[in-house]
Amino acid sequence: MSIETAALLTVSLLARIGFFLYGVYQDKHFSVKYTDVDYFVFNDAAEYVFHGMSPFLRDTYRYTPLLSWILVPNHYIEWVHFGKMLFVIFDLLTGIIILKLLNEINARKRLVLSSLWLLNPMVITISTRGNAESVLCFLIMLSLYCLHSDRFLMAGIIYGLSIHFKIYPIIYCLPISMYIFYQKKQWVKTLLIVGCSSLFTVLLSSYLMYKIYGFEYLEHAYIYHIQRTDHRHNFSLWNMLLYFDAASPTPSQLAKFAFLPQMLVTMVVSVLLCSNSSFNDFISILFLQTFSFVTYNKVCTSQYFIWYLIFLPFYLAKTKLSLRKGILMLSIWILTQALWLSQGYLLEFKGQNVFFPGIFGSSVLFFLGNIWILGQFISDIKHRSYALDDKKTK
Amino acid sequence: MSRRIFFSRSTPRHWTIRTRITIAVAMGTTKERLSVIFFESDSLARNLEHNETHVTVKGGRQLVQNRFSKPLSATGELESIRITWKHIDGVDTNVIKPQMLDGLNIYTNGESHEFAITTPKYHYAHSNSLDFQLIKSFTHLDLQEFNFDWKERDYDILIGDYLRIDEYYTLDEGMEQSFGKDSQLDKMEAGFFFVESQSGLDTTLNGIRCMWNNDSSIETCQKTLLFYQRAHLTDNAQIAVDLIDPVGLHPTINIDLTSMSPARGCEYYAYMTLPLDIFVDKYQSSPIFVFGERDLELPEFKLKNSAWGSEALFQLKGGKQNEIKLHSRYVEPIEKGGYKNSNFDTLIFLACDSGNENVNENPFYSKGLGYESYFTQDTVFHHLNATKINFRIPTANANDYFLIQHTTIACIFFSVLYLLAKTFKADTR
Repeated sequence: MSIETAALLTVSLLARIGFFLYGVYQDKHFSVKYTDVDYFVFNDAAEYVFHGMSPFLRDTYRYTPLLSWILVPNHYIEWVHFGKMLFVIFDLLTGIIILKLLNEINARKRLVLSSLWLLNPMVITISTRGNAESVLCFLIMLSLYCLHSDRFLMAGIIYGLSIHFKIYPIIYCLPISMYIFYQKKQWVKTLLIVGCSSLFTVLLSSYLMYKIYGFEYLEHAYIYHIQRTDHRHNFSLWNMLLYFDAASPTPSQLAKFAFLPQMLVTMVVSVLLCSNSSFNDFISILFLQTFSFVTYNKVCTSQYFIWYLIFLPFYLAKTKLSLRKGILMLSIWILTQALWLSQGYLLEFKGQNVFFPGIFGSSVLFFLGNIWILGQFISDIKHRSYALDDKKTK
Repeated sequence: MSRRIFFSRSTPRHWTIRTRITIAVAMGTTKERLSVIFFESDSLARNLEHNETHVTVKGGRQLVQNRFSKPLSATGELESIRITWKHIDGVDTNVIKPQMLDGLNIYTNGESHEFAITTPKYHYAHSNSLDFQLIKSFTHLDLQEFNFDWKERDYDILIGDYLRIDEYYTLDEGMEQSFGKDSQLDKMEAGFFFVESQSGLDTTLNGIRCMWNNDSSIETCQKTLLFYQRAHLTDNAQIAVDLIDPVGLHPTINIDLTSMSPARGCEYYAYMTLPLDIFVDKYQSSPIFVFGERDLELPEFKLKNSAWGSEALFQLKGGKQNEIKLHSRYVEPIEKGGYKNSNFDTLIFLACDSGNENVNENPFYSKGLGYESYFTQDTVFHHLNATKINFRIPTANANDYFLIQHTTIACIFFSVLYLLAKTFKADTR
């Protein structure tokens, strides 16, 4: 490990410790808590587990019981913030894997790109506030790391576990299969190993949880997520429609089909792997997929953005986008988001009726902005393969 | 001759009585007992006159309790119902009146009811307005047949194997009221008192008490001294209770107890009745309890067929500002949008152990079903504040539904086309 890398990791760790301690301080001294509301849900659920009961006794606990198990030590040592330290560790480990996998580029670029995760205040805030996304990000990155280093059985098991944690990584199965097809020797055997081990893990972990917690587990960890229609304001384009539909005696049936365009787009972008399928391209496709998945999702909050943020350093490693365009894209993402946040603030904290056009209009703009950005990403990935073809023909 | 008496108990000690009410049967005696409280002895002497059949009182802010009771037929079910109606918000308890909650409150320890919330103590329905249908669905009694003045007066009604109606009002300046015995009554008596002394719980009333003969003539009036203890007291401290500005979707109540010091054997409490529009997150606000509709996520319109809302009790800290965070639910979009006005009631009090179970019952009122049933029998309530807190919830405009549907479809459709084109079209940049 170079001195620079060591320095980056040290700063990353210190930043996280700083944020973490500040959070403990704010929680103690201010009425507005730094800690995420959901963290208290996990923590309460863990308390039930600690007392030998079901985590689902906690209202709104809608996750795998594994998550509450992780936080049981909170109650052994009677320190509510302990679990956040675990999330911070997962978040750091994710950064380390990103560093390790970014090996096709020069050292300086590698440091800069991995800083996008390691020094990203949004990432640090999310894990130090006690959001569990870092556990999932770690699982996904670890699985990709195993896949990259040909540890297929491990890759499959960990990938399966990530699906058990949050279902959505299931969208990666197509690009993973394509990557194996294009890049791995004895692809049939490899595909079978990865496929069967992940399927087995999903089924076994879910079966075990079902065995321990019964139907309640299926109801809260799966069925709820499939049926959920969040009527409370969030970034999603679908949100206002869902609010009206929920209240209407004759709701439009549109939202029931929301998964169709979402699946269509997330699957279609995978075909870009056909022309170019290096490990880096593969992760870039995962980036595009996740980006479109989140954009088309029926619910979308800030924490969802880190689902694609883990892949961004890989995408940027090979991008042909000009700096100007990149800045334009980032500005659109930030500005439309800021517009929505301003409307969300007026509604949530000032109690103003800004549902229409405020909230809806800014959701539409954010959506359209994201779609345009996605279009630029697609063009860029295609352009890379042309550039590569050009190189080959020369 | 002055006589020290205790009012004879015209009611059994406990209301755990078996009945299913039908109003028709009236075996036993139908009684009325009137109590008028003057502020001073002079006023009593000056403003009271009587002839052979009637006692006349000239109005001067006297407090009046009119207690009517009659037996009801029993069917063997163990049930009692309490209905309270309080027409004006605020702390309103005096030497003869307990602190009731604002609006209409129906409590029963009998059968459950779809509109009622169920708590370990009772089934409870609450409404801001008078709802005779609701009362009837609980009691099978038509209270409209009684000559009640709901707009001006408060009521505390008990239904067990007898019906007991306590009516409360004040005799305003310039008014004059004559009291006599209605021929349908079996028994009538009236007491006219002034408050001789009040010290802590102990209250002494002095005055005269009149009894009527069967022929509606006054039998006798005699001097009476009445000594008893009260469970409900008014504390004169000025306690501010309001919402912290700005009020968003999470209204936060601030209860200013900075001027109140912690008291030994006592605790400060806030009791709330919350409509469906608003709820307590029990994990966040740490109430002592929340009963009723306390789902943390559902919008108001998904709870239409459930009970009226929820009740919650919070412990507060003396000498401090106390904040309680609540959450409003999303409400149904309406034509033209705007805001839905809603409100909830808070009652702030200091509850103290008196070590004296006599406070559970006195000649004028007893602790019954209601918030007081969560406290021990010897508890004395010092009421600090009773406020109806108004807030509003942003409401989407139903007319926007059409445009939102079509914009959403258009966005989805064209974005998919655009991305497909981007993916499959030969790209020349």
